[in-house]
Amino acid sequence: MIQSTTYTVRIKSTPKWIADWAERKAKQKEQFKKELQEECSPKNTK
Amino acid sequence: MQSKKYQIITLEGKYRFITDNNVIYDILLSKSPTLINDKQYTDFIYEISFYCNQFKILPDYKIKNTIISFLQDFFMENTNNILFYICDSSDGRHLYRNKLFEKWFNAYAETHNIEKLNALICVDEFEIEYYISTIIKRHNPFKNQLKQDFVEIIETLESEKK
Repeated sequence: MIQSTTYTVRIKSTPKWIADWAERKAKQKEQFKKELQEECSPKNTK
Repeated sequence: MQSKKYQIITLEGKYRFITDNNVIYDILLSKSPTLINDKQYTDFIYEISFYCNQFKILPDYKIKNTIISFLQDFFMENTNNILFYICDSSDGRHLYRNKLFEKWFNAYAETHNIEKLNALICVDEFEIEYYISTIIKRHNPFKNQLKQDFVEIIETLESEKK
């Protein structure tokens, strides 16, 4: 079996590229929820 | 394998499949601005993210098959492609996700000729851990360079804390 390599590091504060990722992820999650709500909401009918 | 996986539909900027239990999964695959810039292989790095509309998912082997098949296509499209992801930690289930992806990787690495590099970054500030991985084809011409750069990023973080 092929084992993958893991490098571990402990740091004090969040690197910018991880903070950016977290922000992007939060926005995408919100967008996903919003889209699902819109898709599930009853359409206006005349 | 047709009946053992879900059909993926392509939507604007994302992919979607719906399980037999009506769980909706969205897969986002985007050029990654996160980790490594200005390298010969930067254009091949894609960040993958998954979103689903339920917190607790019943065991369903077709979800795994669907995602594996999606990734097979991703690497088949261009064998230079590099997959990058960080396990979502916002709901505290990052360790579970990492273990699951590791299990899937171990089951398919040999037959699919793939390799994985992982980093575990523990941030004291918020007492949070980030599981970060890149997956590449074993014969990717940028493999050694990527490994070198990946290690360099970790070493940079190490040196910054001193």
